[in-house]
Amino acid sequence: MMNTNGRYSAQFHVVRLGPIAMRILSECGQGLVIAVFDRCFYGRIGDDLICVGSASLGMCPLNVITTIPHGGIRLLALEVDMPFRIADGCIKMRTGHLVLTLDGARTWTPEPVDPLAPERLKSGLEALEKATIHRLPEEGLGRFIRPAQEWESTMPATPVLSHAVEPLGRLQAWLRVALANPLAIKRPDILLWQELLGLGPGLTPSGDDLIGGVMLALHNLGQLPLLKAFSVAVAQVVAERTNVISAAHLRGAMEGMGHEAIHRIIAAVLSGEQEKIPQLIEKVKKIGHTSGWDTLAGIVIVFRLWQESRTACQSAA
Amino acid sequence: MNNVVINQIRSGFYLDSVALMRFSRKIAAMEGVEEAALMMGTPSNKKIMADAGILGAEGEKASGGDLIIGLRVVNQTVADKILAEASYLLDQPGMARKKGENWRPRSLSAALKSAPGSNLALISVPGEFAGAEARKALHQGLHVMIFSDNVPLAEEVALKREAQQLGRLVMGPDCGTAIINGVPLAFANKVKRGDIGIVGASGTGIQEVSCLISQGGGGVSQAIGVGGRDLKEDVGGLSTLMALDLLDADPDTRHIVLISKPPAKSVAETVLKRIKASKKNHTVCFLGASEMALPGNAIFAPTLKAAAETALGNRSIRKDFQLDKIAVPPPKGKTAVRGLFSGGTLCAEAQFVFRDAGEPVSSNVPIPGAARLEGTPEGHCLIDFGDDEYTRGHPHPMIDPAVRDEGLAKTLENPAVGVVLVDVVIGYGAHEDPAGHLAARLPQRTADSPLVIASVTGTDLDTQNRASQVSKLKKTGILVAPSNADAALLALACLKRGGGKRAIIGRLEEAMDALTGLTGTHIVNDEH
Repeated sequence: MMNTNGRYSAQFHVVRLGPIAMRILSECGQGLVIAVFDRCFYGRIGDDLICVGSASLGMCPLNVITTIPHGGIRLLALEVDMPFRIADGCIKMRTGHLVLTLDGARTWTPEPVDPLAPERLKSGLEALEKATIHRLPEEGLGRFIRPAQEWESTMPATPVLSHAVEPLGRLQAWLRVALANPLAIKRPDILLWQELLGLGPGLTPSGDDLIGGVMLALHNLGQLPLLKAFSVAVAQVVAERTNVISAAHLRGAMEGMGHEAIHRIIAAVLSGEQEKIPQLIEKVKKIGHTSGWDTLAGIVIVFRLWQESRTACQSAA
Repeated sequence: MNNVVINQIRSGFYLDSVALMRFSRKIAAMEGVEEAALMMGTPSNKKIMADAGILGAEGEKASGGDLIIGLRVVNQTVADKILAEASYLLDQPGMARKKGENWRPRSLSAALKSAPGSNLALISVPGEFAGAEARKALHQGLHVMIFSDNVPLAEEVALKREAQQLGRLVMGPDCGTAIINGVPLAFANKVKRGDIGIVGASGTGIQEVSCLISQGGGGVSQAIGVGGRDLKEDVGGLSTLMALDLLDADPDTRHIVLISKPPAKSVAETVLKRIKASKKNHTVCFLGASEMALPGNAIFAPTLKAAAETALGNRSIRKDFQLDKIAVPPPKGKTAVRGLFSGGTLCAEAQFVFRDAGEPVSSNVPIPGAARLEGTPEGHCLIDFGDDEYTRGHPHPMIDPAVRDEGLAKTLENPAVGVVLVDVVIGYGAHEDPAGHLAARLPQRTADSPLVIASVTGTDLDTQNRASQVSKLKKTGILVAPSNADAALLALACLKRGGGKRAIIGRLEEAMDALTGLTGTHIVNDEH
């Protein structure tokens, strides 16, 4: 297709959008490419980010899934700081050589969860623990899926783990109290565990993914006031503690949205669908280098603390 | 020991997590490295690096969006070496995953950094991406050869206009053959270097002419492919004109050969005007065109072989090849010729020979004057097995001659077929032994077997060695002609021998007269 400058444009279609991406792209705007990878590129529009790529990327709230073939992103001559426009139902590179049409794109929404039932959650967590025995990754924070006594003496400590233990302990302490009494939440003192943010070498550091998992778990447990307090605290420091790409994903988690595979496993754990969990773990493993495991760790920490708080309530009663 | 802590910052540099971990491990394992980490410069990560003793003053200044390469190494010399290696890795994200595998660049920028003297990019990616890659290359100062097909025509036009403004050459799209400064590119042959330049809108056309020139005692200065659509009206011959300019200016080129199907009228006028302005002599081979008005410095050649001969100064190639001495009759009652071609231009040239001899012919890729093949072939039928209908999901027959095996088997069983025409193309990119493959698929010949006539496009310098390929074919009783055009003429001569068709005799002699008369080539009646 020829654009108005008489130059040829490669044209692809957007097939699916994450809800945050949909919101960003529903208005006209200008943006800049900020990062280009094999499977996707990130674009910044104002303070928001979208992640544009091929179907192999998987779905999450920032994602814009297109008909660009797998491996095709690198062939599209995209460069950092390349400007683009959102207008006329398209994302158009200002160079004119790439157009992504938005017509007909469907918006993804996270898998809904069953009404919360402690017995089903217990069953789901048991299945998750069973599926992760002897499979925990050494890197990242995924080992927190299982009780510390199971791995303290058998798995070597890593720098990321060593720097996470104390702030995570303080975060868990706050969560324990908050979940036990969600009507009287004390504002979290972010300074006690802000070291978790930006902790880890990846594009989305392990600490960020764990914090994201915490927020997703709170959302799916219906702990919305708690989530809000937590999110406000994170938002205060996120810009100075981590990179803009990870911060954008964290903002998605603040709205209760994360990777599609994560939502599926959350739904399976909450509904006690034990048979689905091993297969879903395989999909979670493939998210980033350790991001899937790290996010799951944050989810499991919160689910267990919530379980503890229910048990304590029942005992008190 | 005085260890050295070095930090390098890459501002706003993002790597996906998997790549980051891979590079970290690779760098940490390098000799002389005591400790290394690649991490985003968040406060928490800087603390990790500081605790590990690899955060220096430079790293302290990094922010969350910066990548810090942190090293503790034995001395500054090692540090410089490791940092250079790290930079190299980061700019080449497709580093080898397998142990021992040679590094290959994954991007044009990486390739240019590794070979900064390059001035040509050969692009072979799916057609929908080829334009963008070509544009990148042009804007980075490179000429471009686009091997990819399925590039939209509008994209080709836009690219060539852009290239013209930049003063760079676009060869293609769908350019399968070029020889630049003696280097064969894509499907090309090893030919002698000399003073004949070739501009071709056809891959196998360039191959046939360049090989005949080399085998005929001459040599090729440059062979520039311009893509099959360059001489269409939309494209206007942009690459052809630039190629003519380049060869005109090339001190090593004495004579220029232009090969194509007949161009659009307006484009032909522009190209001939350009040729007229040149001080060099030209051969114009517009396959299928009848005699045309040419400027004084140009000669028309009706076939690829004739083009090679005029470029060689009207020197005959294989003047000992004498049709009436070599032709043998096909089995009685079998009068159809079936051609099974791997080269599209070779198939087209054979059709032109048949057409000009007055013989009706059909094809899956018919030339003007030939019928389109519908259903089961009847009469003379010449098939291009390199066409999309045969290559969709299969390799090209030049790469894998098995693509035409089934067609060959059916043809040999066909009671109407008296002559089978086959092209054998060797050289870079081609099968390692197409003649051997073909010979192995011919059953023991009987009196009733159809004649098999082949030509071999290639040189004795090619890995497959033309002489060796010819020998293999002859051993199985295949008649081998020195060129594709000769093979088609031989097929007709064989029919003349056997069919009792007087009409063919007259037309064949007319066709031969036309070929010799136009080129001034004299065929000497020597023994084959």
